[in-house]
Amino acid sequence: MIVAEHLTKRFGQKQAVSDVSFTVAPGKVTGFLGPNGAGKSTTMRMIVGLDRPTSGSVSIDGRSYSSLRSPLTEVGVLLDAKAVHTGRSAVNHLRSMAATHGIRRSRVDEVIEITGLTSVARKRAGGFSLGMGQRLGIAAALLGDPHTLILDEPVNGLDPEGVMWVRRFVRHAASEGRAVLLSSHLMSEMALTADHLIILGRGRVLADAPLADIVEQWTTKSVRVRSPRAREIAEAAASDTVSVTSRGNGYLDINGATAAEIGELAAARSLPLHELTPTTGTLEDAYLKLTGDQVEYKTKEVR
Amino acid sequence: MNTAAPASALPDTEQERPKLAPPESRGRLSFLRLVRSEWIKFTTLRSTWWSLALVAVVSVGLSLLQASAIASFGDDMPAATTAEQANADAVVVIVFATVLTQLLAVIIGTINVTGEYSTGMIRSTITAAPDRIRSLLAKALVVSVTMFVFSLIVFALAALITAPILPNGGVDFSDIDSSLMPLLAAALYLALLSALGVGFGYIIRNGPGALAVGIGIVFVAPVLVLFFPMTETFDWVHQLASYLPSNAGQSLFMGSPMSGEALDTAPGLIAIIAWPLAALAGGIAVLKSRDA
Repeated sequence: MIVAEHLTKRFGQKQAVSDVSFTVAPGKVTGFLGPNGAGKSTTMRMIVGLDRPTSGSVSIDGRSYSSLRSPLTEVGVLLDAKAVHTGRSAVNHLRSMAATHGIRRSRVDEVIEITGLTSVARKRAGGFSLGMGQRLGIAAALLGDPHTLILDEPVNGLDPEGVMWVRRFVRHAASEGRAVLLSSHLMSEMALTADHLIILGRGRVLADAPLADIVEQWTTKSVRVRSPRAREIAEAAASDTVSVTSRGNGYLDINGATAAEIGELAAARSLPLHELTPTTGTLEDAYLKLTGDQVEYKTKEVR
Repeated sequence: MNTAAPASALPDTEQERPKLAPPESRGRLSFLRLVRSEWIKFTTLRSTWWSLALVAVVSVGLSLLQASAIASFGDDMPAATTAEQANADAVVVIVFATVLTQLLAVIIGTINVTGEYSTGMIRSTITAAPDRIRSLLAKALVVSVTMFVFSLIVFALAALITAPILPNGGVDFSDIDSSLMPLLAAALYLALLSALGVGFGYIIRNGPGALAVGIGIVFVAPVLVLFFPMTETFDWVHQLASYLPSNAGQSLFMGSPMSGEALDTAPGLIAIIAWPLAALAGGIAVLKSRDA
């Protein structure tokens, strides 16, 4: 469990993170979403003590990261794929990391196999592709079999199998009761992976709610209708609470009424329908609404 | 790519929630383990072996050159009057190369740290040992102990090779004060300089910058001092120069420094220990206060 309270980080004049508070609960995958420069990585670096907060605090299972007695077995961290000496082989990198905690050598071989690095384990990390570097970073995070996982853009540079593997892996880790905090700029991936979302913009929390709630709150449900007599349907359906937008070619988007209501309305007037499709927004729609305005981010209480 | 195996290693069912083992049953951080980790890191970089090989080649090579030079002028040189004098000559032949290998010692210590900063490895190091100080101490310990042992081995090698060439014979180890002690002092000196390099590495973080400062203090400063006239006005410069790491070190194991005045054993030792201690203290201060 990660608890951040009023985290603030200033780099000179630039406020990278402003008064950010959130909780990452065990047994769930919490997604960190936000445009570049929103403060995701800085927040993650503060969690693991690489950056010192200007003010505020963050704890992992009730303690600050720097006071953990066996950090690698409590928290697995992937901050970027480049936290590896380029001149050292993957296996030697992992050996040196494992040695700090007396983690047995067989665990090194295990994480190499789990992350699919076996064939390149003895090659120097400097020659790794981005995807291989990610796998090595994930392998290092797994060494201590930690209860908390903090992964910054873990699927960045991975091939489709790798992306799928990470998704299954973090879902599984959460199902075992681990707390997982994961950032990604791939919205579709986030929609498939996360249970709970924290959306950051300009260093502030814009939304902190279950994925489904965010999509529901920030997108409008509408019904797509196609009919040769679209104009008549539009006139019949429109009211104070129902808005109708004509898309041309007999297409209408109707907000504020359910598909059932529109179907019955059409039937009552004997108007033919060629299509009647309820549509819900996607995470992407919600995200763009939340972060779209570059000048001033909207904030809205999401229940 | 082996993707099938990891996928099948993860059960699909989310019903089962196995209890997680307590973290400390899977390992725990300790200083000794950090030393072991730093040892693995030190020995698994090619640059380490290149640098150490260079130390050996330069050291033994220069000793050999020096010994040959003495042998060729052998007839013109006054024969050593005492066993002690003969020993002193033989020892200087061995430790003479420290004029160059001291730079390699600083470089080995420095790049051990700056290499971590330039590659990003430092973030892995710090997340594994977030109190930061212990990993710095472990690194300084590994680098300097290795340098000490390795220097002794190289000196032994140089002693063996030069002994048959020198007109007055090799080092006679029956008199410890004039044989073993200066060799130990020279090895200690190189070890401490590598620790000095570690300290500068942590303070400056940038490889070329840290090397410039390290080489400047160890190699350039004692030469610069020679440009100050030996007058009363500049006496303090020469006095202070005696405490530069290389001058203090040379006082200990060669008898006379490049510049400044020869120091006695105690102040000499204190000087060569104080430099790396100060650099490491500075490194700790920077490491603790700055973001990684």
